[in-house]
Amino acid sequence: MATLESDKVDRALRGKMKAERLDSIDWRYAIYNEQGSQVSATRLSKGAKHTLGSSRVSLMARQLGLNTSQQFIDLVSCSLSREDALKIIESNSPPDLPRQRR
Amino acid sequence: MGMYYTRDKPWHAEGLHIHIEKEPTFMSEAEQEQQPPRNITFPMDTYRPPINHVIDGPLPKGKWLAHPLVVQIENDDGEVLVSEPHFYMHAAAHSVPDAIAAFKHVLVDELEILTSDEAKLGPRLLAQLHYLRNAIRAA
Repeated sequence: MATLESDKVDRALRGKMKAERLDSIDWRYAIYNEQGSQVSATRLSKGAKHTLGSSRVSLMARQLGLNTSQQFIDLVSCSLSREDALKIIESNSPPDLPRQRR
Repeated sequence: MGMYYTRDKPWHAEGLHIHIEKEPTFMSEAEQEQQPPRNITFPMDTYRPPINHVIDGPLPKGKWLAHPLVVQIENDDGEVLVSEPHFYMHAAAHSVPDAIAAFKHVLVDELEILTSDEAKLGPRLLAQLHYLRNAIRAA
């Protein structure tokens, strides 16, 4: 089962993906491409470090515009670069019709 | 969290985990070794697929859903997760009512943030903004 720690996700989004973190009802992370367009966004609950379950990981991956949970895990674990992640995100934009989550 | 499924109450009404109590039975030692311990709790997501649920009506900040919205409700490692299937907006909480309420806050919050950022949105988030504008109306 694919799970992720919220602090690592926060670091990957703000660090590698250069996401802008907005203090709203949750932390909202907006990702921009090199042209300054906001290409995707996702959210994390505020508060202490917590574990994101497999369904949440899958939803966040899809919300970001990635194809699979594994791509999101690769992004957080550093094996997927910002450039490659942006290519995937923008190739999925606008999103397809709803499909089975993986 | 002390919330468990019972035979009398559905999981979505009462809690996030199933609690199995086996009646005492006569078994050999070998058979007993193959059985799960009594009173063990299992994560609900071992047993329950996501369910569809329709939400409608009022939203935070004086907004309303313009039409009923189908959401998915599922258990995720001890939390209830509510999501929609188009842009995967979602929210989590420790009970179904709280998760639905949190999800409604997310819808309104996303509409406000995307509206304020509209000039710099890429196609994906622009489509999400249009979706939210169609789904949400002022009271």
